[in-house]
Amino acid sequence: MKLGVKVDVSKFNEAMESVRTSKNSMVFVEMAGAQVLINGQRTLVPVDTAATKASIMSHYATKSAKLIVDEVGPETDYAPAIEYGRADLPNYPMQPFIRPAARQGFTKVIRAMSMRFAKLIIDSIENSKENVL
Amino acid sequence: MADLEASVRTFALQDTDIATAFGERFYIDKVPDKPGYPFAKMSQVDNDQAWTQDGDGGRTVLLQVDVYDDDKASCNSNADFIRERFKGYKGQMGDINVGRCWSRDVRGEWAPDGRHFRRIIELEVGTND
Repeated sequence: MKLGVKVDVSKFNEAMESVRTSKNSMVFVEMAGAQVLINGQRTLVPVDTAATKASIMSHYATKSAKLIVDEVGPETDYAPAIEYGRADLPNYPMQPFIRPAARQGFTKVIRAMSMRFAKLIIDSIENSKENVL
Repeated sequence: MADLEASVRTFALQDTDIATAFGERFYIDKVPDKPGYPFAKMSQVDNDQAWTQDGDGGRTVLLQVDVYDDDKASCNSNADFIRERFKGYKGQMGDINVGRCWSRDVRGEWAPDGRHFRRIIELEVGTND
């Protein structure tokens, strides 16, 4: 008696060709990763008045069907001093949060965007089937 | 893991150019009063992330080296000595076995209140320990 698995990928290329990306769909994918970074920065940021924490958000530099550039970070004027210290005060107690959040969240960002992109592909394939039927 | 910052400092000062420029003025975390120019301060930005919920984090540590000088050209050249010393290094660094080491410039600026220039070098040290 044999046990086996049969994998039929004969329609795979055809299905992938039916996937079409748009600016909105790419933003949908990217937002998942951006939210991981936002959450990470908000967790690690030092808090006094919480102004820097509240200002952490996405800042889209480019949005298109092929390229999304999003700069995720705070907007307060003194955020660079928190992250890098102050040039005039060598002993200023820098408390980095942007770089640690990026390093610690790297894998999660990739995974979050991959899952969103997989959903996009599946939805696109399902929609193309409906059109055919 | 052995003291990475101390190992990095020792490794840096083994370079002739760095030792000539800085002498003992290569500090870890805290700079004494009126240290004299040029001087450098190294701080750890992020830990080695040996293990996270996602598994092996790769054991890379991010360090920030701030180079200070009252002369712009000298500040730039001293920062370049540090960057070149660590760029692509692989091997033993004191008690640490380094798998790979990256260095990059982040930013530089003139500090009007401190009356000196600052260059920032980021070092990413991947350890095998």
